[in-house]
Amino acid sequence: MIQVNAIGDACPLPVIKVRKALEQMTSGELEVLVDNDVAVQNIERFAKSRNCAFSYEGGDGTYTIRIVKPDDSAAEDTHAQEDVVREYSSRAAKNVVAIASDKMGRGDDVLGDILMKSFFFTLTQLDDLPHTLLLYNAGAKLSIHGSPVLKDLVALGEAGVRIMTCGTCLNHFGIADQLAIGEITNMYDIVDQLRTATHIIRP
Amino acid sequence: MRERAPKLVITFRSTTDAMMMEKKCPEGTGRLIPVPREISRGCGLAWAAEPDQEEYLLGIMRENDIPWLEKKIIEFYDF
Repeated sequence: MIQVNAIGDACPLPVIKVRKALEQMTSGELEVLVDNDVAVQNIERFAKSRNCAFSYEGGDGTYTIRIVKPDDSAAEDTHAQEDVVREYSSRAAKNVVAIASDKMGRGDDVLGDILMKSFFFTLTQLDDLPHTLLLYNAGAKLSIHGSPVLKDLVALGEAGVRIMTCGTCLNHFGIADQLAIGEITNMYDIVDQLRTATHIIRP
Repeated sequence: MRERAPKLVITFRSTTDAMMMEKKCPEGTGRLIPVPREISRGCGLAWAAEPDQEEYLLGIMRENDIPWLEKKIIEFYDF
């Protein structure tokens, strides 16, 4: 029987350790030690997504989990497995900024322009930058040449922020050939980014 | 690697004055930013520029009758 000690490990490390251990096994039993209930629940979901039997015992800071990997695990749902691991991993920090307009707020468009420029400037001043910036609907107008926030977008992109602009939206406004920064994306990727975000920031 | 650099920050009595500053200043002589926390907890707009442009900017404000409230050097991630 293989043993994994995940005592003291913060999420998502226990799940990652379990995944690696199971990948090295063709079949058989895996024993996992963890120290919190959340880790037990996360590992249970992960084990079941791989068609493994799951049980545990213990409490009050010490849990012993038993996972049995079946012989026919080659038929496991690898997509579900990857989704679960990615979901846990992404929780470390994945802030997504969703820009749905070229103006911030409603009421006065001139003020809305200024507030949006202020918003982008302030984003560039964060110590912890967002993971991804999504631009859709009129927000797509902000990543093209001549945009009032292009300089800030370039700074964010150079600092590692992923900048994704809705292709349907660029086409709708007839500005697809004017994209100046980042990549063109689609609704599947937009939904995936929003679904896996730790926090969604929407000005 | 992002680096911080000192910038000159000028605040105004009203957002109208700040917006007038943006209208009167040529490109490359600064930008509107939200008033930094180091100056005020309140809302508002300020003009941020390279420190060596102070005299030039003061001239623009005199010529266009734009009153300013406070000047301060503050470090920002470069912009």
